[in-house]
Amino acid sequence: MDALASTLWREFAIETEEHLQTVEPILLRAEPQQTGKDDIAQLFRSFHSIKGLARAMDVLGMEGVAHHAENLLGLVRDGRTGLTVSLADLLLQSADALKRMRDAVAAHRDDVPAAPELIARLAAEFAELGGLGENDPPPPVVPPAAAAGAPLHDDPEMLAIFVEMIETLGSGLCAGLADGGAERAPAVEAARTLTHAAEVMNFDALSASFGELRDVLQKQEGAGRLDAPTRREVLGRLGDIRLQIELVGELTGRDAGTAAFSAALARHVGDERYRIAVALNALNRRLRDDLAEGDPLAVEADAAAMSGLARTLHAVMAALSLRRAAEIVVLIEDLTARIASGEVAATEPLVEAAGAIIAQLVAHAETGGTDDLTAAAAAQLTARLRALTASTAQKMIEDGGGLVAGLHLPLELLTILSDENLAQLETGIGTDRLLPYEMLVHLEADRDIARRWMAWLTGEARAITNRTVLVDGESWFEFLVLSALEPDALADKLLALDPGRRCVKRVRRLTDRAGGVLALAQPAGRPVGDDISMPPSPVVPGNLIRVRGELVDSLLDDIGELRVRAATLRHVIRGAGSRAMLARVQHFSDRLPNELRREFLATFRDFRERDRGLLESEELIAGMLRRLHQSALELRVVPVDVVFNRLPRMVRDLARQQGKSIEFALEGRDVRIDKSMVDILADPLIHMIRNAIDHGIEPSEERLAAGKPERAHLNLRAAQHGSVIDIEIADDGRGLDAEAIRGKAVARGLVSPAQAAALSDAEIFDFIFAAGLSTASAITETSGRGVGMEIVLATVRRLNGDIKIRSERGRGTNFTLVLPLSAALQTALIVRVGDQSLAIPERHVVAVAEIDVDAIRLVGSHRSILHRQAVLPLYGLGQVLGMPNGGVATGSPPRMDPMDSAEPTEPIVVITNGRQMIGLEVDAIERIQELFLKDLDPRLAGFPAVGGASMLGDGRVVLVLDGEELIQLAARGIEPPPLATETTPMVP
Amino acid sequence: MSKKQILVVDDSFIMRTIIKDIVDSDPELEVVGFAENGKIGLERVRELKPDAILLDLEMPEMSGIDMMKRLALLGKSKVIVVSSVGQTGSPQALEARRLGAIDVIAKPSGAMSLDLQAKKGHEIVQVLRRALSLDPTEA
Repeated sequence: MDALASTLWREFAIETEEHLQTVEPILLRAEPQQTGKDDIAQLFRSFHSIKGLARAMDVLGMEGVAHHAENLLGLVRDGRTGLTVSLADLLLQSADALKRMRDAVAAHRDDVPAAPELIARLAAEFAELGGLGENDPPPPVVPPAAAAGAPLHDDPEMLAIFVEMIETLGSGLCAGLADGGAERAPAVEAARTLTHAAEVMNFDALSASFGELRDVLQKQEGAGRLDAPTRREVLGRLGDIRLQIELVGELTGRDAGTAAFSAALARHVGDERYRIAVALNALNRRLRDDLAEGDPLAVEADAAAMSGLARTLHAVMAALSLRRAAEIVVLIEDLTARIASGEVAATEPLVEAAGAIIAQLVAHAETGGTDDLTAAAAAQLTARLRALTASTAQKMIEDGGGLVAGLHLPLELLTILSDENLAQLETGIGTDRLLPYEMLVHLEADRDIARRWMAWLTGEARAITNRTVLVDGESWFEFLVLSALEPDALADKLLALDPGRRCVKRVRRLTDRAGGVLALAQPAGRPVGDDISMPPSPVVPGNLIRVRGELVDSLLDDIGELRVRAATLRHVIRGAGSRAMLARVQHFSDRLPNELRREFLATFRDFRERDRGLLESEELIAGMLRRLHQSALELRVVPVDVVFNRLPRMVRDLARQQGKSIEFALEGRDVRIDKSMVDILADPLIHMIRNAIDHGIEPSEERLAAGKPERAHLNLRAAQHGSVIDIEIADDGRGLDAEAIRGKAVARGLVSPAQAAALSDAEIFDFIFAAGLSTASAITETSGRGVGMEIVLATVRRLNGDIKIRSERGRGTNFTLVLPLSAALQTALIVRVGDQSLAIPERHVVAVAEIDVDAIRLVGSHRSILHRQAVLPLYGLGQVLGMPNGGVATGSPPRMDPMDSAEPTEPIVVITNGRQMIGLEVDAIERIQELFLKDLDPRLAGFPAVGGASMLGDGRVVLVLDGEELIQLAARGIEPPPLATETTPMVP
Repeated sequence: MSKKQILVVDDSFIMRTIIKDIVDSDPELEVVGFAENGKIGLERVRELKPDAILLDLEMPEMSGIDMMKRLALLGKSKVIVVSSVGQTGSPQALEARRLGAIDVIAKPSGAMSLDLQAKKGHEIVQVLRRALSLDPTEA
């Protein structure tokens, strides 16, 4: 039960989220453009659904908010008010409140009361806009709902009232059959009221039935007993109405008085039923005579008349709730209708069988009883007629013989085989030597494949019949197909048509009893009705599953760890050390005496054999891991809209705060990015959008004065180019002020005046990323403090991306974030300093080297070595980072490689930022590895040169360094705050 | 004179295409919409208010029978069932008739009848015309 409850709450959370996400963009749109009818209907439906979901989970606080919001939207939908800005605002607040309540509710699985102020505001707005107060009774008549909106009958309260009306007035309609005009008057009145009520409720068909009854009766006002045709028409209407009343009961779960209606009707019907049955019987006798006389025109005419009469009798039976009798009458009606249209040939046995049934109906009507036919009697009557109309296949099934006995077909498919199908099967299998197959296909999965498959089916195979099979709420088809192809050839053919097996789900050969499933691809199908497993195929629309994000993360973590272990394994097996060891062992044999040597070498050959096996397996596993890793990465991509969808709201709010008019356009919402980028990207984007609104876009007066349109444009566009994603933020505001930035940069000592003058505008723009540089004259709550862009750039760099700026004074600014597709995954070199493992992104690493300690020279005052004909300054990584006990050179003994020389050496990593190159001294170089960047603990984010954190396979935390900052840090010689030992536990 | 508007409700897009071809072959009839199940069908009925509906019975989400139960109250459109389980006298056909279907036409070869046009095309058009009180056409 717990698991079930969890599932329900989770579904509740997901579904409400979906509705809330639908609501927000529409409400945000409400401002600049007139919201369409469809949008209003959508809003209404969304709030209505939330209300329903909340009610289902018994969280009344949410239900209340949703209910009031829905009420307001009802007014909009009915055209009593427009969706004004203030109304949209109020609804947005309701959506926000619902979101907050939903989060709390989902976390505690308990109701959260709605804020009384919000409810009060919603109710007040409703009353003000002409809605009713909370305690007023619902209006008896409300104007019909707009065509696109949810109809009134979706409102349970209205429905309850309506059902009650039918219950009260319905039986009165039956007085329409009374013999005097005055006695019929109340029925006319009831029909009039119900016509109107049904119309208001949008029960169009019901309204039509009541209305037609009213019209017929009105014409007979003041007349005496109704003539026979009119009586039959009235009876027909009452029959329709009885069915409709029954259906109202079925749909609402509240009986609308079916039994009372039938009883009232029975009192008025009198001998009508008997008289119609007798008339029908007479017609049937005439039909038999027509047949004997060979008069086809008379046969058709009489059959048509019978069909009409049977229809009336059917209505009467239905009106009296004589369901079995009614069904039998339908058989007569259908049979005679088909004889009349020439579709079924009238034969003597058929007419005799119909006659027998009609005779029974006459006998049944004669008693005037209100009891239905017994089930046995009904079955006996229908059996006789069915025996004459059933297909050969159905008879074969009943007999268990014939051709179908040799086909191992599902019964459902057998029963629909027509005589013609059987003949096709016989010819196909017997004469043409074709093989019968059963195929399960899902044609809606991919229309192109479906068309190709259909072309094959109609061109090269023979489809005998098929049926619908519902699999997980989708319609699949089960086909009975004949093909000349042998099973293997057929499987090849089908795989060529549908390589991903998106449409063709299963093929089974039918001749042998065993009914083997063709091996279309690895997993074999199972009998219909069981789960049908499929090999993984490209994303199939409609075949999507929802997976919790943490599950994907944990899968990727496991895969990541597996890759680390695999890399270790690879190192052990393939590393230079193990190869050298093997070689040494082999050389060792040279020193052995001959007999021992032979034995040793035999064992060694065995050993080499196993080693080769190990190498092969390792190779295979590495390949599989790569593929597994690639597929798993695919699981992480999400549409960039996940980030974008929060922004329109923010833009709108900021614009209104600042009294600016902004048209915000989003493009490329469906561009897919790695899930981990979502969280990392959100803040920079928010910051840059805020900047654009705060500083980029001018106040309206300024824009107008500059001859620009008052309404500013702000565009956010995502696009994918190969393995790179561009996210562009463009405004048509005032543009960057190169002179102001130049001035600030000089003032802050970032460049000399002479250098600044020499720099182009484009180069000057880059200074906006420098710490503390803000040109904003007004510092607002959100921006202008000069710390923003620096962090934005750092974040983007952390994702291995870059930012490009284009700006033109007075015309606007365009920032483009260039990001790699899977930014979160970085290849890094893992090094060790003291006990701490550190990762240096591979893109910064030029080389890894063992240097002779003796080769270190002092150049100027700095320790350097000659590396590739250049002077390479050396820095202890530990010292640069300000780690306790400083750096490598002083902290640890020089490393020695026993295999190499006895010279004291130390490992260095040569890194570059494209302009400078430095050597970093480390204690050890561990390996190259791909790392997932995790969110950085905010306490660590402040440390210079630390770009992120990641987890190694063994669970150790590794800090990912930023090469760019490392070089700056080393070059500036700035004393960084100590990166103390307690940093490790700080990382989650 | 404006054409009579027909809604096609069938879960197979291939059947929808075939049925559209059949209906559109008559100059006085016109397919104005499609739905792949009863639920969507009801929405389309509300939007389009078609004169007649060609309705399949076995569909996911909401079957033709369930759709008819609602239509019997909601819609004024005439319903003609075109279904593989629509043989005369079948339980589904009886139920469809009880719920007010004007006629029930059996698909000749299963839920997807590629030969529907050849075998029942004329009948479908004739039944539609009869339901919509248009004069019958010659074959």
